[in-house]
Amino acid sequence: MSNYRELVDPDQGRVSALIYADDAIYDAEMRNIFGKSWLFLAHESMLPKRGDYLTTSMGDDPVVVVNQGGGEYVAFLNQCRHRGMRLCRADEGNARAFTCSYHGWVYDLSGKLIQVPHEEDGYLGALDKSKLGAQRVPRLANHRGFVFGTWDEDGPSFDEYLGDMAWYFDSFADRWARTEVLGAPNRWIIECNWKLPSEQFATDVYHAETSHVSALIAQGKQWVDAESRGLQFSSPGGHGTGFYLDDAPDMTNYGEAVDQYRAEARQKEIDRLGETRALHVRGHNTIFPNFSFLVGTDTFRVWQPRGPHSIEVMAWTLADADAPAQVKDAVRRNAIRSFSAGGIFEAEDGENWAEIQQVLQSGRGRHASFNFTMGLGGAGKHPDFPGVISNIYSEEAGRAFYRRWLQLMEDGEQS
Amino acid sequence: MSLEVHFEVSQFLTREARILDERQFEEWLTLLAEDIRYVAPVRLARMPREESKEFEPDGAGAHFDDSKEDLAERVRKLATGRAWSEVPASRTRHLVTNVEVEEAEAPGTYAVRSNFLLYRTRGTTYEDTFVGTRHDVIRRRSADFGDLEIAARRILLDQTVVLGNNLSVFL
Ligand code: FES
Ligand SMILES: [Fe+2]
Repeated sequence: MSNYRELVDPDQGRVSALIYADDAIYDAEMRNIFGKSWLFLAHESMLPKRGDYLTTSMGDDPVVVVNQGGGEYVAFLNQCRHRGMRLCRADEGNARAFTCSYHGWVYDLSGKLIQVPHEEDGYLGALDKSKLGAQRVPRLANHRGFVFGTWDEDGPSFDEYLGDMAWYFDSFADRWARTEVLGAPNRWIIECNWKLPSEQFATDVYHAETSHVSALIAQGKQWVDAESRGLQFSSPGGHGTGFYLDDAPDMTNYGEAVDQYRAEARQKEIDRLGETRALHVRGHNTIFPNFSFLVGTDTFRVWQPRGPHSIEVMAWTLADADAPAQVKDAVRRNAIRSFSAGGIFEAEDGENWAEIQQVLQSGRGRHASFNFTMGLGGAGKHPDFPGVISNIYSEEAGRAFYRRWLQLMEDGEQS
Repeated sequence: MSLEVHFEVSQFLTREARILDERQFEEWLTLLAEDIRYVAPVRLARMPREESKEFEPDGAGAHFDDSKEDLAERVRKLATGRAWSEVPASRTRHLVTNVEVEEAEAPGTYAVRSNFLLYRTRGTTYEDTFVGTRHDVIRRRSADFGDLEIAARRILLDQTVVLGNNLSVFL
């Protein structure tokens, strides 16, 4: 058992590097953070028909998500109850049932065990199939087409979990009447701890002008100037977002036809979200612990932990389902070109996080203390924006992220 | 297909690989047609019944879906000297083999398949290996030997999950 409080002191803005590089802490996180949080599973448009399924993960646990028909979704651990074989071995598809390829146990679309070879002459009719369904994720929530799940039987509802973050999430999830994911995810491996990207998308616009300077120059874009004002939202739930109040810099070039469509669509967005939110809440976001999105660039992603030193990124593009095909295509190509493994922005993020992680392989590096003091004491209320608000240049949301982390890690030690 | 054309196309691809490994990216752009599409669809593990959907179709998941201007933007980015994912630069080796050349419909246009192995190393211990097949459309610009351009490139990676921190290289 670790004394997490010695490692993480959000009030003073201090975080030990050890939390990014320690096996025991990672194992505890899988139980205490990923076992207790609401985690993104799928967007409805990825699984439009009954029997459509995809494989993903919750923390490092592989899960299958299946459309049951009638707007119902089920998720279960991707593991056969007999000897633990991976039950579903495709990335996505449509199925009538899932047959384990080891000894042939058959599970239905909801994960119930329905058929076992040699049930009579092998098991002598004594196998209680009703107790051997795949381990089902007990609670799912569908927030405007985004399906989340949690292993926690009796924690907060998804709405309570989001808290004030719902207002900011809806600037993305509810911007259009119908949303649609454009194709299969970009997936890649970054050799870094899962908290580095999660925390960055919550709290860190600060890096953009340095890390992404080359992409901005290549696009002929000015990053915001010194007078640009922006805000950051932070939450006791560990969620965070930052956005500019001036004309938000769009880190993508859409071309004239699309720009024109978007300008026309803007009025509808204002009608849905209100002017403040539609025009200004267009920034970087994390829903604790590892779901992030960028409004405007229209990418969303999960940073799937793969041990303390590695993540698998799964990144998708979200579009207005009612937009013309040409607009969707431009949105998709721009999202990929800016934020994916080959993204002219994202390439630098992966480089930063992987280099940080490399240095953590060293003894002194691993026991260093990281500085999270930006804007300490500078947060408060704002008449137009819910929750705790500070200047956009702040690590308030980072401190809140680690405050939530600490709380869950300590709660886990007590139970 | 004449031996000469096959040789000419193979030589062209070899030269392109060298130009990329020498990081002569502006010169590389001159080998690309103005109307090029440079696409790398996402690949999925699928059950046999759905194997035809192994690669994402046009307009869906892709690692790259670039026009010439998009590629030029990438080159401008690298030229700033501040594209940190390539500073200090990666050392790369493009190995291009198994070249098959077929006449395409339009005169002076060839459908060319090749396999590639892109080895990349950075820093001291970092390594990536990207392997796959290219389906290129290569077009003749003039009657001069080797005066060709890449009119389309479709890159089929063998990995479904890209095993690398980023893809800040050209495939
Ligand atoms: S492990 Fe699945 S049937 Fe035996
Ligand atoms: Fe970034």
